[in-house]
Amino acid sequence: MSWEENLLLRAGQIGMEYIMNPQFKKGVLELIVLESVRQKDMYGYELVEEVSEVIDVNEGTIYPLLKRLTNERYFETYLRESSEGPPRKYYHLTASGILYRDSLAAEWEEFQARVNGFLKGRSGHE
Amino acid sequence: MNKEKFLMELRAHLSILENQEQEDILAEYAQHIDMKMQKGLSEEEAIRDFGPMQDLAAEILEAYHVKPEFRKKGIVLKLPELGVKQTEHGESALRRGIDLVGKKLKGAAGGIRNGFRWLVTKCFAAGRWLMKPFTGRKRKAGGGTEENGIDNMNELNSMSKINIEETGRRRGRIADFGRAAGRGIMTLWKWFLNFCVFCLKLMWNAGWLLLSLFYACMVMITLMGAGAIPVLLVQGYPLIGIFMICLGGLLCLGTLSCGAFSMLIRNKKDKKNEDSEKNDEEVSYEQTA
Repeated sequence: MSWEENLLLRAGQIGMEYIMNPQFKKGVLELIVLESVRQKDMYGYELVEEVSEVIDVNEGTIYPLLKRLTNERYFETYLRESSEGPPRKYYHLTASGILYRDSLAAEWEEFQARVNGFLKGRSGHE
Repeated sequence: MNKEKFLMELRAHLSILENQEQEDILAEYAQHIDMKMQKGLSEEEAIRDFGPMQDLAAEILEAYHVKPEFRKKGIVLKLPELGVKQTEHGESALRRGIDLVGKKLKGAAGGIRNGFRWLVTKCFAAGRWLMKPFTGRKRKAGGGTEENGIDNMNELNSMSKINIEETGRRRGRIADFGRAAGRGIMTLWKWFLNFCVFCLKLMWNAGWLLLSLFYACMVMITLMGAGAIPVLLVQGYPLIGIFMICLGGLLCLGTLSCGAFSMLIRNKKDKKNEDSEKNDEEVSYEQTA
C-alpha cells in the first residue's frame, strides 16, 4: 500500500473528503506541479485540474506557486492561441527546473522510505 | 461576489506588487473563473472555491516573499517613534541658544557627557531587558499559529474537518488578541521609558543651565567691578589687588559659564545613534511579530 493510499484510507475514516496536513501538502504540491509540467507543457487551469486529481488543494494556491517557480526560473512561459477564448499562458519546465524537480523527487523518495521504514518497524514490534 | 468585484478586491490586496506582476496573476485568476464558468459553474461558486480573500492574498504575497501583514504593521510601528520625537522637540528650545557658546569647549566636556550618555544607554538596555518577557510572549503567540498544522495532525483521528478549521480559527483569534495586548503593553512601556529618559535629560540640562546662569551673573558682577575699580584706582585708592581679582574672576567665571553650557546634552549628535537604535527596534519588531 503506498503512502498516499494509506493516508487516504485513514482520512476516509474521518470524512468523505480526505484531509492532509497543510505542511505536508505544501511541500509535495511543488513536486507534483513540477512533474506535471515536465510531462507536458500546460496552462494554468489545466494544471490546476491535473493537480486537483492527485491532492485536494485550494485552487487559488497553485497560481502563486506557478508565479514563484517562474520567478525562480524553473518555468518559462509562452502564449498560445486557443480555439475558445483568449490566448493561454503555457508553462514549460526549464533545464534548471528539471534539475530542481529531480532533487525534490530524490528528497521525497528518501523521506518517504525513511518514514515508511520507521512505521513498518513499529507495527512489526507490536 | 461577481468576477469584476473579486478581481478589484484582490488587486487592492496586492497593491504592494509591481503593476506588471499584478496584471499577470490577476489574468490567471480571471481565466480560471472563465474556465469554471464554461464548465457550468456559476460565477459565485467559482469564486467561492478560492476560499477567503484574506488567505488567498496572503498566499500570493507569500510567494513573493512579502509579509502579508505588511500594511498593518506600518501603523503600529509609528507609535513608539512618537515618544522619541517628543523628547527631541522638548529639548529643541534649550538647544537653540547653546550651540554658539558650546562649540569650543566641547572637547573638555566630552568625557563627562559621554559618561552620562553611557548611563542613558544603560537605562535603555535595562529597559529592553525588562521588555523581554513581552517580546518573548509575542514570539510564542506568533509561533502558535504555525504549530496548528502539527496539532491538526494529532487531532485528525478524532475530529472532523470543520472542527479542525474552527479550532484553528479560534486559536488564531486568541493569538491575535495576545499579540495586540503584548504590543499595547510594549508601547506603553516604551512611552514610559522614553518619558523617564526625557525627564533625566531635562533635569541634567536644567541643572547645568542654572549653574551656567549663576556663573554668568557672577561674570556680570565682576565685569562691573572691573569697570568701576579703575576709576577709583585713578583717584589714588590702593585697589589694584581687588582689580586683579575682578579680572581673574571675570576670566575664570566666564570659562566656567561656557563649560557649564557645553555640558548640556544636545540632540544633534545623538540623533544618529537614536536613529540606528530605532532601526534595531523596528527589525526586532518585524522578527517577533
